[in-house]
Amino acid sequence: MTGLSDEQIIHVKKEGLGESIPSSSGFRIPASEFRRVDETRFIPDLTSHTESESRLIAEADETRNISGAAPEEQTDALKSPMPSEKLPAPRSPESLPVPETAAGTEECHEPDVSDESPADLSNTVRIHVDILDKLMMLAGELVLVRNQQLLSAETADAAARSVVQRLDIVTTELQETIMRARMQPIGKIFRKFPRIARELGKKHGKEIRIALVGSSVELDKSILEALADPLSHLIRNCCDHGIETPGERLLAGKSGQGLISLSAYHEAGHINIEIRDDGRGINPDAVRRKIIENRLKNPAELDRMSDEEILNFILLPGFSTAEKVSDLSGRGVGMDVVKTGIEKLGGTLDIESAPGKGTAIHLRLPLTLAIIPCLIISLGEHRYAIPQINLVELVCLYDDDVRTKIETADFQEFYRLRNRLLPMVRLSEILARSLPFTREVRAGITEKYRNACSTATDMQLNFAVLKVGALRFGLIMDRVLGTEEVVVKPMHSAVKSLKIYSGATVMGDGKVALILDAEGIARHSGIMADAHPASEERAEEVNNEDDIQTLLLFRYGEKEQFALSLPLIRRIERIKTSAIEEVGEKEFITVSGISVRIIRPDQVLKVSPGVERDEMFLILPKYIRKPVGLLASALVDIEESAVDLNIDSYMEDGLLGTAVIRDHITLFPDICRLAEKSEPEWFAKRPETSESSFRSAKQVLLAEDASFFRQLVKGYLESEGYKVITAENGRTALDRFNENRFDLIVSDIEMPVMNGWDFIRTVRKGSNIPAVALTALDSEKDRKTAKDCGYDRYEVKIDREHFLTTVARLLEVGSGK
Amino acid sequence: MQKRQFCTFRIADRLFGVDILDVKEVNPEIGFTPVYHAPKEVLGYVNIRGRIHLILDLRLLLGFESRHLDETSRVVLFKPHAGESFGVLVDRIGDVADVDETQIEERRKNDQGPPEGHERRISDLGIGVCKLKDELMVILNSKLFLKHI
Repeated sequence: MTGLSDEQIIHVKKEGLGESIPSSSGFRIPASEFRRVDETRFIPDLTSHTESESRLIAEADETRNISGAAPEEQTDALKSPMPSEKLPAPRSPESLPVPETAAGTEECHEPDVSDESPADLSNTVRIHVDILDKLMMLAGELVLVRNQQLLSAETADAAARSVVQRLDIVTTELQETIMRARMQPIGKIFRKFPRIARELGKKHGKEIRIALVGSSVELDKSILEALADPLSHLIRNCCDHGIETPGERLLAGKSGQGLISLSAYHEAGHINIEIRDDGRGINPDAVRRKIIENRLKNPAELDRMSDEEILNFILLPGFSTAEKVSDLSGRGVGMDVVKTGIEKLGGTLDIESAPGKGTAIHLRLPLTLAIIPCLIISLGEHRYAIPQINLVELVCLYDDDVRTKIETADFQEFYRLRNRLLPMVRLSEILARSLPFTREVRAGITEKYRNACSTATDMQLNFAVLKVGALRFGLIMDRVLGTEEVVVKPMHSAVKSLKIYSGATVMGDGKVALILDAEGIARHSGIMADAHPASEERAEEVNNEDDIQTLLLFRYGEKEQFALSLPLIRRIERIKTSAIEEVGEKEFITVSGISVRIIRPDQVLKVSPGVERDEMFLILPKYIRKPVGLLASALVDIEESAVDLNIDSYMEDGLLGTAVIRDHITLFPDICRLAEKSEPEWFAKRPETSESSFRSAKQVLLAEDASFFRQLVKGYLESEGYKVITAENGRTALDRFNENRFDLIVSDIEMPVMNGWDFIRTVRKGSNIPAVALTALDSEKDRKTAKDCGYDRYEVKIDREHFLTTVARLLEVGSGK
Repeated sequence: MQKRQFCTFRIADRLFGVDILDVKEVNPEIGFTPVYHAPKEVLGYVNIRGRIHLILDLRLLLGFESRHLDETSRVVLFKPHAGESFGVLVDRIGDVADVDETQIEERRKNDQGPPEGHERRISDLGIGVCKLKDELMVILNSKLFLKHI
């Protein structure tokens, strides 16, 4: 039997326990154990509960407890200057005379951290953590009994039901109160920081003061323990990087003494901790330099990133901006470890910094680790829990997709999720092999499923997309059962070395389920080690990002597949065909109180007639002021794809073009044009007086690198009767501009070779032709740059109506001159 | 004369006993949740009144072949001083045996060279043997179970 250490003792406010135990009559007081404590009326002797099971064993336990507790208290008393026997009531940890705290004059103590008042002391009792854990366990058992009772109560009469309901309420409250008993004030770890800061300050010739706020905020004991290391790392960081020497501080107009304020407060079921210093802050330019040195991003990408995004780079492993390595920090292992530590606790970390003014780090943590939300899945007859914090999304593939969508590359299976390769891991294979996967094993697994997939029919494949830091992967399991808040129990020490589990829990039916550790699984499967190619692939993606469109694929008739760019869609409604009403030849349906004109693709395009279903989908477009909706019989999928619109092979009024997507010719309807075709009178009133003959005389130069948008905008302009000449970038646009006479320039901003800014600057040297900047970026800064460079107007790409009105106005002004 | 009590059980028809002071309870719950990757002696987790216990297969620990579960299978759960919440699966539970200290024959170390097979495992885990009315009971030290997986 191990003795009691101070760590294992929790001080409980007496009222807390008094509340939770309705009657003290059922409990004996083991007087010997608490003989120095006068106020122990509510201490239950829990062993009496187990008497029925094994009386003699319980008694043996009790004697051990007593003999274990007594000597330890004496050694405690010897250690502390004040003999505990003289204390009228047990001490709280805060009241332990810590020499540094007592002697220290520099640190600023909040009144609530400093020694508790005598009144508070007499209201607390010392309880061993074991007893609390046992209480917790008994409460858990009570919950199970209650659950069974609830089930049987469904058939019982009203009187019995009300008794069960009361049992239900009392049990829940009991559990909550016991949870509260495990809470300890954060001051317990806060109070060692003033000393750390003072020592570090002395060593480095700095004056540092620490201010503590909210030391009485309470956290679960387990979180508190896990928080100590990350917090002291952050404090060290502040002392080393943050606070300057007194000389530097005075020069910067600050007081010579640096201040680190450490505060904790509750907010919406979370604990917030803020570590703020008034030092030099993090210089984003230094971080940028480091990013370029380490080749994490190219300068162009960096320009587009905000300072906050830049700051997050210091959280990457191996990233340090310190000029030299010191005994404190600068080795590049630090912030990433802190971040991982915080995330392990289910928390988040944010950095905020103003150069010259200081840095603030915000931590947000759950109140308790004991209960976490999990996704419950099954494999075979067994259930597993995946912490929600690791979960990104769930994907289900059917039939053909199972065969065709899982690709194999070398020795690894991949799924292409929105154009990003997602390595796939099969839980069944993970569980079946206790040794980490080698290449041969992975190749074997890949081969096995490739063969299995090509023969099987009528299949379904479920997987969860999990994230571990920056890595994402798919975990294939049998079934998804739902989400549940589970009580986490640590793994047994004999199996603690197994990295693929992070704990165990008892499910509602009394069976045990294991909690999976996403990081352990990623390591076991070997995908953690080959995470680098993924980042390369991402870099590639960024390069041709402009061409990638998020498309909604849908069908209407039996033959054709249609695609609409997702940003053009406001929303999609599931409608009942029986609710469609007819007015004359037009069809309407009421969607959230508004009657929407239904456009059937076969009425406006030469396509096959629709498949009639009871339920169909209505696609409501954006940027059209009148309520219209395009009817679809089935939604195929959402696809991210680099679209190269073809306008040569098949073209029709109302189409933007066609493209091959998933091996099918796909029609891209111009939803604005379709609306116009079906309701011409709505669109006749565009505010312009010009004749179409006037328009056709107008020639527009369109510079746009993404072929999809080039086609889209060209379509808009041509439908209005303008003549359009296109260019893929600023350089060719400039050539065209010098070859021809134009009335208007419409140009994208982000283009290869020569961007829109440089293009218009060159044009403006010799011409005042009206020019419209057309871009996906809608920010105040860009608007201003556009003006400064010489654009007359700045339009967002897909707002057709607005864009055309602007064009018409500019041309009128231009011709008026 | 010192009396000791032993909780007895059978494995492969042989009688074994553990000190009753180490035993918390005997339970018929055998719906184990397997812990893959664990050593083969680990049968899995089981929840007994809200508390999760790790169950070991005593047959494998003693060097016997594993055997399928049946209605006589029981788990013997041990108290915390024998090791972190755990239990062992036995074929069939027996009576409590009252034994005089003097009847127990302590295991003698290496008097006939190392025994083979499961005899060796038994001697690793055993304290000694004791002659009951009509058969021998091998006394096992439950504190060693977790250490031998």
